[in-house]
Amino acid sequence: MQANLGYKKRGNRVAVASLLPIFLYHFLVIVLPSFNSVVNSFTNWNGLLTKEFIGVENYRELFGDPNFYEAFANNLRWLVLFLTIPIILSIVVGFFLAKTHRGQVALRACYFLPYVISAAIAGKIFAAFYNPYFGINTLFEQLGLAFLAKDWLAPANALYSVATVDMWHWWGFLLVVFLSAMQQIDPMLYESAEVEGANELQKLWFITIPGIKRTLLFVILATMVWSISTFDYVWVMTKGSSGSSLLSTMLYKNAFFKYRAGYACAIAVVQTGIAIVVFGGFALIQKNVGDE
Amino acid sequence: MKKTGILFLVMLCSLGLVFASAQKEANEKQIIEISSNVTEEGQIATQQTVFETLVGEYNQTHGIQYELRFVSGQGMDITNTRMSSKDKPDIFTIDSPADVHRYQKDGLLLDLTPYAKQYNWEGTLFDWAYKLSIIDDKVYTLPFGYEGMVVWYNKEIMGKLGLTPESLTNLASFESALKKAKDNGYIPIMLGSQDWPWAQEWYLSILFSYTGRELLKSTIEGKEKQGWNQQAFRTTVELVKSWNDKGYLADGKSFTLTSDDAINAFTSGKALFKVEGTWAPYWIIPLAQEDYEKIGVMLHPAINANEQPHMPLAVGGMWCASASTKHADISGYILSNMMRDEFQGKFLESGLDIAPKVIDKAQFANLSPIVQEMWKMVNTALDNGSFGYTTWAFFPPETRLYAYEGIVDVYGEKITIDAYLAELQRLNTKELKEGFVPVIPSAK
Repeated sequence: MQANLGYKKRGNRVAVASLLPIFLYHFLVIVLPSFNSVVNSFTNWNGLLTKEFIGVENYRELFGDPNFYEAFANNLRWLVLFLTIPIILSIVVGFFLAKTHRGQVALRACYFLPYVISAAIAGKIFAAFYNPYFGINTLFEQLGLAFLAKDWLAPANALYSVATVDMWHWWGFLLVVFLSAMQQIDPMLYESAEVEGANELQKLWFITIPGIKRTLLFVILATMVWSISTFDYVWVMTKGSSGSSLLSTMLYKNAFFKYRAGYACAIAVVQTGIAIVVFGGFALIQKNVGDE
Repeated sequence: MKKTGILFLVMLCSLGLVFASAQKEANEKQIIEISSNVTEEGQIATQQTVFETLVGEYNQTHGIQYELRFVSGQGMDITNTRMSSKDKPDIFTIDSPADVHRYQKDGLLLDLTPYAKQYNWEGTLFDWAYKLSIIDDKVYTLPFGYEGMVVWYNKEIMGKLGLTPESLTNLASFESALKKAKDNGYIPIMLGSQDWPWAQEWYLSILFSYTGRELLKSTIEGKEKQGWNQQAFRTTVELVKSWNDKGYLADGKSFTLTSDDAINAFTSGKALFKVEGTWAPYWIIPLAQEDYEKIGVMLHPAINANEQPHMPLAVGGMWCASASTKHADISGYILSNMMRDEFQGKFLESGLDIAPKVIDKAQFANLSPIVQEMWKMVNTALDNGSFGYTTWAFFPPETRLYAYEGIVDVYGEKITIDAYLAELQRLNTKELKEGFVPVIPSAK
């Protein structure tokens, strides 16, 4: 018993020693600056040296700023798109791909490929596709589908056009994640279902989805948090201009172009607050589902 | 155990030696760091060569060993961040005169007055440029690079439509040319801001300046009772919106096209005009001879009876030295001497900003005819005092940002023209109160 306790203590010391460096790094690089941002959000910091305490003035202005609500609404639209299209697409394709034995690796690699392309490059490529003079509009016209041609990056369409590019980049990654989860499901379940006469949709709904439940919950959670903080594709393609502004692009512009770093910190705090609420709420759901 | 101890001691000694030699090297060589906003490879190389020459000269005359550390591609986002940290460059660029005030207010700029006196900046720079360098009677920056807004046109299309630049003298003749171009399947005015939202302010700079230079100056300075809300500005915004609605302005797609799209559409003969400043030679010079010869340059025609065509003027950037620099003397030397004529030719050839001063005409001789013609227009405008005001040089920062972002909302009818102008007025008043309106020189 005594020896067992000694082993546990030693094990704990090793664990603490192993975790300490990364914890210190995280504390110095993430946690401390985050606290700093919270403090700065109560100041009129201009991003250089001027910094005076102004209480909750930034928050008062933020909650009365129509740009904030527009950006937040765009973040929510982004969230809805990412919670549906890429997740559903990757589960369905993954479901059929899991059954494919020949060429599965090649197909998986093919779908995964966009994920390794950087946002800057993908953004540039798609900006060319969206060009009204030689992009996909020209293709539509040549195919007699001119009614499909649009001003893809005009304010009314910009957010969805950019989100499409990000989804193109993202869904292949989700496919690989779901596919690995699907491969952990006992094949006997599918065989039994077949014997019982279940069709593909029933197998997907009653076996696959419950089988990948934990992975699905993690992906939903990550998507929610990432959707609130997304920045790269929008910045590369539209600089968050009219119709596609997000909380992060609003933050960036205030911090670096308007010399309103204090206000930008307030946006960051609210953005983080939203992410924490989402993360906390969903982690709770995940725990309950996991307990089931 | 003994072996481990010896090994530890040896490692400690080696580290000590490495540290000592690094210290010695650092003590022998002093680093002068120059941070520049230039991003194009050829231009980076030109700036590096000029700075290396100047550092070499200084070393030779002062018997010192300075080493140049040149960092390019430093936009304002990076510069602001670095200048708020402890690791500041010795010399750096600020994009707009309007931004300089914040830096000066925060005590981040070295007082360059002694060097300005020693090297006679006042007698060297154009009067308006020298005035831009002064805050509270002290010289804090070297305004570098003067640029103006012009209109580039396609000679071939102009000929096909039976037009000449000389025939476009007023709003009626210009609008008729735009309509003619549109009716004949051309894009009347090309502009692309999808990857460079700032491109929207190029045309706004012309139009606001053409509304009335005195009016614009006194509006920014807060001397107009109604400010931006006056009818004159409303008329201008209504005009540009109507051109956007009619498809005169990039088929109404200016905010969905990239700068490259706009250049390609113009050079491939799809557009009659392209609105861009005097920096355009960076894409004009590399064109094939036949494409190059199709391009002409002119001033935008007048848009009302109050204001004659003129050149809205800007400075490309403000060179400054950090207040905390330990190398003030060499910094002053570099800034003062980069104005020398021998460097201006090099800057001109790579399409870089040049010093805002009278430059020996011989420096322009090697430039291609169209670029020479463009510079002639700029210099004539300066000589005659016939210049106006661009947004990025003379508007305070938030007002400027809103001017070009808000106009897209006006085009998209997300906001009314009145709301757009009211917000411009609100921001301008706020920034005026904060002391962020730059010195605006008077034009003739």
